[in-house]
Formats: sequence, C-alpha cells, structure tokens
Amino acid sequence: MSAPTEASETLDEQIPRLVVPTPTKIDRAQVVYVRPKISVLEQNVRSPFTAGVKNFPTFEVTPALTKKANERIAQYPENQKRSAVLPLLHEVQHRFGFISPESIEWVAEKLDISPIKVLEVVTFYPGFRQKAPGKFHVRVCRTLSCAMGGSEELMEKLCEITGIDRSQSDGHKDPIAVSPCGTYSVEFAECLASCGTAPVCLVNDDFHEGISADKAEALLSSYTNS
Amino acid sequence: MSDITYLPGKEPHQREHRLIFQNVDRKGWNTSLKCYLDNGGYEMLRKGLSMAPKDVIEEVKISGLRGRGGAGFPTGIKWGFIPPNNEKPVYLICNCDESEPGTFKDRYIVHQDPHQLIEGMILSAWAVGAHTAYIYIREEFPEAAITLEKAIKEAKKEGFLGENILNSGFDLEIYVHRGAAAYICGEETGLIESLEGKRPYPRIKPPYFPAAMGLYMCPTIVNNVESLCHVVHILRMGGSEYVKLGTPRNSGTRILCVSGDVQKPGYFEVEVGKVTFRELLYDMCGGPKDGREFKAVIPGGSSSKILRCDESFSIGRGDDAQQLDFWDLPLDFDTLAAAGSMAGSGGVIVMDDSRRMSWVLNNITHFYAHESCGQCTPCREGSTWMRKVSDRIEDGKATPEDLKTLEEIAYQIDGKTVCAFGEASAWPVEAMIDKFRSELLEQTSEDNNYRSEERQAQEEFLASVR
Repeated sequence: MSAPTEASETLDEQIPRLVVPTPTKIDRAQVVYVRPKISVLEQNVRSPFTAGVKNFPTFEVTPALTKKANERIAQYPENQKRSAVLPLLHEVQHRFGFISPESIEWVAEKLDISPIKVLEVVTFYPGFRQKAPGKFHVRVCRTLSCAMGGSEELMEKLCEITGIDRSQSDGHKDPIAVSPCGTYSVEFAECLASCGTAPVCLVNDDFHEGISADKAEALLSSYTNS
Repeated sequence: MSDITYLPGKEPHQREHRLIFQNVDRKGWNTSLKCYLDNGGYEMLRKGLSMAPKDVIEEVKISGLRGRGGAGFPTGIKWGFIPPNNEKPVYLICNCDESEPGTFKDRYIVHQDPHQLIEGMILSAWAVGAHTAYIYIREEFPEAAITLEKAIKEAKKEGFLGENILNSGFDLEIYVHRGAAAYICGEETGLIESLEGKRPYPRIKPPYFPAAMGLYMCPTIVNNVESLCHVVHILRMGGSEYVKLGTPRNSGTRILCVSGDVQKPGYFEVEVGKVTFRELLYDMCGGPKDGREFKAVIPGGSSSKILRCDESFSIGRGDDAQQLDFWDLPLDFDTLAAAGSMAGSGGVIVMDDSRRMSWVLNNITHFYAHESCGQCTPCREGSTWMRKVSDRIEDGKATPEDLKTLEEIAYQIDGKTVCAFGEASAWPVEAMIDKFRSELLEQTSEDNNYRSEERQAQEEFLASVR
C-alpha cells in the first residue's frame, strides 16, 4: 500500500476495495423446495430393485441359518457378541445374495444391538452389497498391477458381452451393475492380491487369474454352460 | 532338503532361499494335515511347548525377525510389550488382510500351506500367553477361509489345538474371522475395531497400543502371516542360526512379489538384503518386456515412494556413506529407508517406458480415495481432492499450478492423521511429483487456466494490496 500523499484524502479512499460483480438475482418466489419422499436413513437401508432379485430366495430365518449364526457367535467372548456382526452378515449375504433391511433387523436382534450399528457396518464395507447382483457376480480388480495388465479392457469386454451398462455405477456408493437379464453383474474391486498374474477377477467365490480381455467370453460361457 | 521337487515351470530360482515357501508349488503337496505331518510338521510345536514361553520370545528376539507386514518392527520386541502385571486375557491376531496393492505372498501361504501358519500361531500364542487367537482373513480369499477352517478342525482332532495341547496343559482356540474388503482393516487398530464388529476406524496411539489395550481393551498381539510362519523356522534353526541369514539388522528371508512390466512376474523368497534390484529384475524376472526399458519401480507396495531407475542414492552416514545406483540397491529395510522409500510389504511393482506417470498417479489416487476410512478430515477430504486433481491431469485439463496444489494437499495429509494411511496416500503422490515433475508438467497447459469473473476480481485485488 502506498503512503498517504495528501492529508485531504479521506482514509476511506486510500483502502483498495474488492469489487465483485453482482451475481444474477434469484427470484425466491420461484424456488420450490421438494421434500424427499424418503429420509436419508431409509435411503441407506433399502435395497433397490435389480433384475438379479430372481436369483435369490427372499430373506427368512431358516433353522440352518440360526444354527450357523449360533456357531459364529460362540467364537467370541460371552459379553462381546457384537463381534459377530461381520460373520453373520456374511452368512446372510451368502444365502440371500444381498443384505436386505429385514436381515439387518435380524442380525441386530440376534446380537442384542441396535439396528443402526449393523447398518453402519453394512454401508462401510465394500464387501457387503445392498442390492441383488446377478447369478454370476464378476469382480474385476482395478488396482495398479491389474490395470497395467489390462483390467479396463476386460471390464469393457465383459460389459459388451453381457450388455451391462456401467455408466450409472459409481465406484463408491453404487459399484454394482446388473445385466438386463439378471444373470450377470460386474463390479470393479480394489486389489484382489494376486498382482503377479494380472489381470484377475473373482466370479462369485471362484478366483480366476490371467484373464485378459480375449478370455472373457470363455470365462463367462464356462459358467453359463455348467 | 534336496528331495523336494516342484511343479514344472514353478521351480524356485537358484538365488532363492526357501523357508516359508518351501511347500508352495511343491509336487505332490496338498493342504491336508497328513501331508504336513509326513514332512516333519508340528515337530517344532513339541519343541516349543517344552521350552518356557519367555525362552521362545528370547529366541525370536535373538533371531532379529522384523515384521513382514510393512512397518518392519521387530517381532520379539513387540511381544515383550505386554504389561508384565497383566491379568486380562491376551489375544493373538493373525493379520491376513493382505490388501497392499502389489503384495500377494500371504495368498500362497494360506491357500497352499495352512498348517504352517497354524503351527506358527500356536507357538506365538504359547510365547505371549494367549488362549484365543483369530485369523483375520480378507473377504477376497473365500477359498482360503474354508481351507483354514478345515485345517483348524484337523489340527484340533489330532490334539494340536483345543484343550491341553500335547499334554502340556496349554489351551488354545483359533477362529477364522472374515473381513469385508476394506483396505484399512490391514492397519492393526483398524483390524481390531473391525473384529469388535464396528467400522474399522483406527485408534490413536498412544494410548491404544494393541499390546496394552487391544481387542476388547485386552493386551493383543497382531502379526502378519509371514512373520508368524517365520517363528516355526526360527525354532527349528535356533535364533542364533537364523540371524546368520540375510544381513545384520535385516535377518532372515523375505518374500518379494514382483508384478507389472517384467518378463516373469512372480514371488521370490530371498535372504533379506542379499539381492539387488539388478539381480531381482534382470536375473530373476527376466528383464523388461521386448523392446522396452525399465522406467520406475515401486519397491514395497503402492504406499511406498516410487524410485526412478536412473537415480543414484547416498547410503550410510559420515565416512561410511557410499554412492549407490538404483540398480545396486539391496532390497532390505534399512537401505530402502535410506533411499527415501520403504521395504514395506515386499510388493515390487515395475513400470516400463510405455507407462505414462500421470496414469499411474491417477490409478493410485483413485485407490486411496476409495479406501480412506473417513475418520480424519485431512485424509478423507485430501484423498478425494488428490483424486480429482489427478483426474484433471490425466484428462489433459490441468494447469501447471494444479501440480503445486496436488503437492500441497499431499504434504498437508502427511503426518496429520490418526493412522499411517495418511502417509500411505500422500507419499506416492509426493514422490511421483518430485521425481516426474517435468513429465507431469508436459500434460498440463496454461490454456486450461480458466478463471471465473469473481476469481479474476479477487486475484486483481490481492495483487493490488501486496
């Protein structure tokens, strides 16, 4: 800042001012606030419908599930039942394909904790899904070594064969895309820990290594034909 | 043991020294208990149980075994941290979350040799006085979880697990706990939170050192799969014999996992510090792909700082300092730390001259933005910002100034978070910009320098007051 030259200048004139262009006026009367139909909590609990729903039975408490759940709970100290949240959710997801609101309630009841404590776990871990995947769920590794080995091309090829549209899926909130027929679904996963045999993918619980884009067709048909 | 033969095409390189991976890819080998017993399995358990627990710890201390999970902390010293007047139960956790990009050593141990891990765990539990142990296995190993549970059942039937193990009066139960695909569960306190059934938000240290306040606030020892397996071999060889492997302060063998642009990627178990990058990448991995040249190497999982292949480093202090080319660097904990990077978990990712560094940077920042747990603000926000800026660079929409922004974000995450994830996400970015600045700058342009009217006015104003 330059020093004042003339005593007659008022202090106000000496200080430079930030001149900001006036923003376009918004007519408040025209703004309509739309209240969302469901709350944020409900949005996080619900399972959006996908074509894959037909592949899985609806959630119900079967004797086999209860038996397995009790076995899992017994692995942890008496007063630390909460530890069994992950194992129980795995049991549910394994049998019913995804974590539905009813199953969250059931797990919470089984472990004597509030449902929100189960929900916070479900929404955090990428390993739990809240919507039905296809009958064959393909998880392609996208991390560095696999990406260098061509996992992007593999994913493109898979989508091309199965007719899956991945444009709507985002890596964080909604990574799973299901084919229109409901048989296949794809997802980009982070490192599957087999970087030496890149690119790799998991189909349901089976691990496949060295699946370059040209092997995608054979991989899928080995499942469809079996 | 010379009678071991391996599957064709999977034979170990002559420079390898196999301890942990002795049975990996072995001809006629399977995961059954019988197979393990026929090859001298659980012999060390008998030996270990006849020793006093503190002697086992002493043996591990003498061996100088450093944790193989990433930090390289001495295992024996870690075991000694359990408070001496402790009256609570002690827990042992095997960290099989192996989620560091570039690392795939634990996969082969748990898939092909589960009993070795179980034997190591029983010995470690005996040493630290734990009666309950958990194997925290990542969700992406569904097959291994089944293999391990089967192996535990078999071992229990033979009296190696359960009550009164081999009539020693020692009880131990091992359980398998599956994670759910979160990278942060590899951090030991995050893993403990996850085992307690919560979101894996890491705990702050101090005071929550697992050895004093771990699982259910009881003393807990968390060790990597490979570290636990080494315990078996330390008892077999004796600590003073084991320490002769490798180099001083970097004893034993470790498994290096090489991936990326080499002729023969794979795993190599070598004596620590006995193999240089030249030997590893040219002799063992068969050199670069046809017509390519090596450009850069990430030496210890994607969190470690990248090294250029044409760099040279000054290693050592004072008179001992010596100038070493990248190719002559031995892969041990101390040398790589002196070279400004780290040995980490042993995942070596190699890039050749066909790779654009902006693409690599983009891939890495996407990974960390996805995996940040969201507990600390610098990391949660910063990792996403870094992803966005690197997206711009990759798309050719960045200005030279963006590089500076990226660097600033990275340095503001580094050291300002509860767990080491902050460093893990910031270090690769810092190093990448530092070492490949000119290449990244080529992808930026002043033409992208879009300024809104407000921003322009603001900048003019700031220039006038300075």
